[in-house]
Amino acid sequence: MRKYILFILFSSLLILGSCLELEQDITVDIPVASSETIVEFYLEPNRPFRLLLTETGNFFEDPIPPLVTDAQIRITYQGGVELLNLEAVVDTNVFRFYNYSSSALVTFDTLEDYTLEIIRGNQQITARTRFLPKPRIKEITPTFREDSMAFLLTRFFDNDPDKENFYRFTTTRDSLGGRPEDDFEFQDVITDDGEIVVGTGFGYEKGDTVVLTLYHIDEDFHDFLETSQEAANANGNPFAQPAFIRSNVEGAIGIFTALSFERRTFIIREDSLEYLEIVR
Amino acid sequence: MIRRHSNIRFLIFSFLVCYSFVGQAQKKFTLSGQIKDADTGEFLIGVTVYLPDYQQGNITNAYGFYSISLPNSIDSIEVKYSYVGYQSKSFKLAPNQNHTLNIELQTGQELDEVVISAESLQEKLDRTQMGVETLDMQDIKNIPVIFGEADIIKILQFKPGVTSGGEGSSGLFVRGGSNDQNLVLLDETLIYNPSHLFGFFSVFNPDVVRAVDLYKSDFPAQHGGRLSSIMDVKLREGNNKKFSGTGGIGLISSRLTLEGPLQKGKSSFLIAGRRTYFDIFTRAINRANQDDPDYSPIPDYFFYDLDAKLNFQLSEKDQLFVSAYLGRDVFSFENESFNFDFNWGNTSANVRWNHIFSPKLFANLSVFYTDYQYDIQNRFDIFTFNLGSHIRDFGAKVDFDWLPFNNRHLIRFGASFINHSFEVGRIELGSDDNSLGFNSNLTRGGNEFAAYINDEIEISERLKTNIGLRLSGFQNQENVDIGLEPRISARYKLSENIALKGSFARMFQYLHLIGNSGASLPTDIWYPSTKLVNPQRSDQTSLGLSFLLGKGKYLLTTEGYYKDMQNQLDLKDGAQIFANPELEQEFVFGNGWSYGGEIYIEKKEGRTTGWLGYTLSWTWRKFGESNGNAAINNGEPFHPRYDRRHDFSAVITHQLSRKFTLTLAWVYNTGNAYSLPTRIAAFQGTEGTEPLFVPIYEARNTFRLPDYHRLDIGLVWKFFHRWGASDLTFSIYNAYNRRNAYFIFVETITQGEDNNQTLFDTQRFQARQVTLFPIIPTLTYNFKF
Repeated sequence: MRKYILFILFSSLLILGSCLELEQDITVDIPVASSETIVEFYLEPNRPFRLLLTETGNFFEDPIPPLVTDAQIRITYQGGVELLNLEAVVDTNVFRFYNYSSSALVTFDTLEDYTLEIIRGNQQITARTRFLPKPRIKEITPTFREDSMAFLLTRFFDNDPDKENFYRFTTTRDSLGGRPEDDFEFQDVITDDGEIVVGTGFGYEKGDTVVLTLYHIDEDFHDFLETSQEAANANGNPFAQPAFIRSNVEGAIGIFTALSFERRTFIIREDSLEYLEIVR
Repeated sequence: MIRRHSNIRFLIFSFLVCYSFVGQAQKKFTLSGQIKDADTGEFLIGVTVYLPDYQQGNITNAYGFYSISLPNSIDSIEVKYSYVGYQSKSFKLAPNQNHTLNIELQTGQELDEVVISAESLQEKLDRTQMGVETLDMQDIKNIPVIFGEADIIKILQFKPGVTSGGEGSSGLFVRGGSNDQNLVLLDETLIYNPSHLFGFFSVFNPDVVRAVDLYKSDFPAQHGGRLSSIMDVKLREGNNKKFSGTGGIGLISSRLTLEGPLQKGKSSFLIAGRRTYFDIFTRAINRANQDDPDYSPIPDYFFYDLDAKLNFQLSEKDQLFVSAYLGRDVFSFENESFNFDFNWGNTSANVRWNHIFSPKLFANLSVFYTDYQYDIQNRFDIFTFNLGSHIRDFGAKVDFDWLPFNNRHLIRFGASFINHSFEVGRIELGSDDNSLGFNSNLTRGGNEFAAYINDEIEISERLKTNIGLRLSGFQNQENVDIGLEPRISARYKLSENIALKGSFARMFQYLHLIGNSGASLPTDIWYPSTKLVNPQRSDQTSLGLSFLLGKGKYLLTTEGYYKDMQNQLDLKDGAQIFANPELEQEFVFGNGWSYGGEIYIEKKEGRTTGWLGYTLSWTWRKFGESNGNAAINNGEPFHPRYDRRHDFSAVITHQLSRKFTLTLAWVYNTGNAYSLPTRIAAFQGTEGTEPLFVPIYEARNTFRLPDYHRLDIGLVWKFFHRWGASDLTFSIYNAYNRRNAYFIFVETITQGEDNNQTLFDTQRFQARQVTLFPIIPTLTYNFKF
């Protein structure tokens, strides 16, 4: 809500400024800062180990991140070690790019940690993660308004009501690889008899194909998502305080996490949903 | 914490010893009374009552009351009453009995068009009080302000040591203190949010303001509860001689005040209202475009203020005042499926009873109520989502002025109690079909109490001191915090025209404003001290020299200060303050300090009046790891946004003729501190679409906006009618159209804008500067009958 109020204030000022031509480009001298390593590593059940390892770039220059090519990557799991090689891989399902990978598949296991170790010269980067139990969706209900637009209400079971749980909710239209229609993370603060209800905006119509994913995420990933989004938003908002990314990676910025999720793919019909086969 | 101090006993002992000596003084008779304006019957504050033959004197208090011991003499004694802008009066008295003289002073025939000033420069030099800014009513009327909306806070921002948060803002940042560290009193009642429209206008209707004092240091022991300043705004009482009115029609608002006697000479009423009217225009624009499907309606917005006051003289010794304030900001937006209503504001009421127990003892008892609330109501199709917060106080306080033995002591003492209720965050979710229902309300309570004693002692003609002690406390459930606040100041006159002044003041603040943005928003939440959240504390030491120059026409004041602030509170990065039952977990604790020097030269009499002020200052905050949260700025000290290295202001008013008054005001200051990222990181996320580009900041507020400067010009053209007087006030804000930076933001340049075909839509980032106000001419019509 605060963001919304700030957005109204900021937008009003920008509109006022642009109406009166009170906006202008300026050049700001930025001191030279040293680069930091960026880690982005998601473990998905039955998928290969794949990592994107980059560096930070200069802020007012080309934002395409410089790729890291001089790292040694090691995953430790159940006493075994998996090495990742420098190899460019593109996942065409979701248009994701990786520069380090291995052919071994990730095992879904909620009892053992995966440990990541990255060596770059004298720099050592470490992180640890573990799969959480998958979430369970109870029902998804479309609600239409007069102009045939609909929103989706999703009801699901809170995983362990005695513990703090964190979730992420995304929807994409047509296929998994598109830009998410809805994407937000939250804690199980508001529950209804052990169930949680989340809603989307009125962004859907009859005949739309929707991929809805509910992730059960750990607090580290929740904080990373929240702070990286806040930092990105703060980039344009002069009233926001500078936000810093909360990482779970020691010695670098980034995230190493295991993805536990339930995914439903469906077509929105008159008063119901027609479920399709699971995409992955 | 603050619960024990080794010097308590010493200070109490000092008081007792002091009065055991002065108590042996010889019995003397006393002259006392109250002084009023002859035209309106309103009490006059700060009138000098002086015994010229003995070089002794006193001034009237906030209720026009004075008391002075008469020296032993067989001859009659001359008593002189003087007040700048009023005709002086003298009387001769035989000092063989107590006398009560209630005086009415007539406005000076020649001076009234030049200046009506509360005190002369000589009196200001002679006072022990330092670090105080007093606004004259004439300043408020003459100094040009944006949109022609006379605003006492914006005029205070022209004074040294006081800065605004940004252009056009009614924020008040005093000597490195933040905006929530100001105790804002309207007729002795606390106002929690003294601004409208996200801080662009203050809540004070200038037509009903009688006096404004802003204490930046050397805080009177009577006041406490905030670290950095006390802004004491007193409303007029209402004319008890005849019915009259004042008002004005401006660019964005109009106002009207009516006042008059209920019983002539004994009681009066005053009622005033002010309302903006841009919503009338925006509604008309919306109606004209309602058939255009591509038109986005302009949100509705207006604010209003209502002030009311009753004043009854119950007897020669008793006076009763009832005053009330109601102000609201109303913002609403709606389209076919979405409604957003947001309103916020203050409500306050106060009943005060003055009683003169004896010629030497005056008392004031206040019972008051104040609240601040905001309420947000969203409707999205069948769903409702409401948010709110509310702070409500009930309180009482009693203050005594006591002239115990002779004119060398003036003792003030009293006590206060406030019961606070906090609705920290209320959240309600619901739907018309009852498929969704949720309520949450985080509430807190607390009791704040204080007792104080203060003695203004004239040790010799050269040396005068002010020794005060305030004991304050706050109780919240089982947690009790106690604070001992010494307030000490002294003035030593090196010569008739040079005075050396010094002061030390400790302040405690038991309520904290929680907000996680750089902008001051109405949704910021007040939160009490608890077991985890310690009271804020400040220690400020000031030292200054004052010079009376040019045969008393100019007063040059220099002051240096150092302020230490403990237990400062901020929020961790990404804090969630709405509907969070464990809000305290989001807090980070730290400290702050500020130091600087101020130079101020003023002229109050003659056809040309005004002041020049310069401040050189530094302000710091530091928040290490605390409360289980990470440090802010890696635990390194940083400047808050409102830190200003240089701040200069010049305000010159010249009376061209009886009808025309010209005012020029120029300000120059270092730009606000702000943050910019130095590096950028890209994350493709789990969905693998356009990467999220995330800025990486090296440190907080290490960049500066360009220097700020601006010239404002005001011309007042007065008209005199049989029914009263009126004026046209023409003002030009930012006369040379300086494009000052209000903020700098970063714009994302995308493929379409740069016309390049690259891997990502985002091409680069560009810094852009936004100026808020170009040159703005305004015409306001004011009248008085």
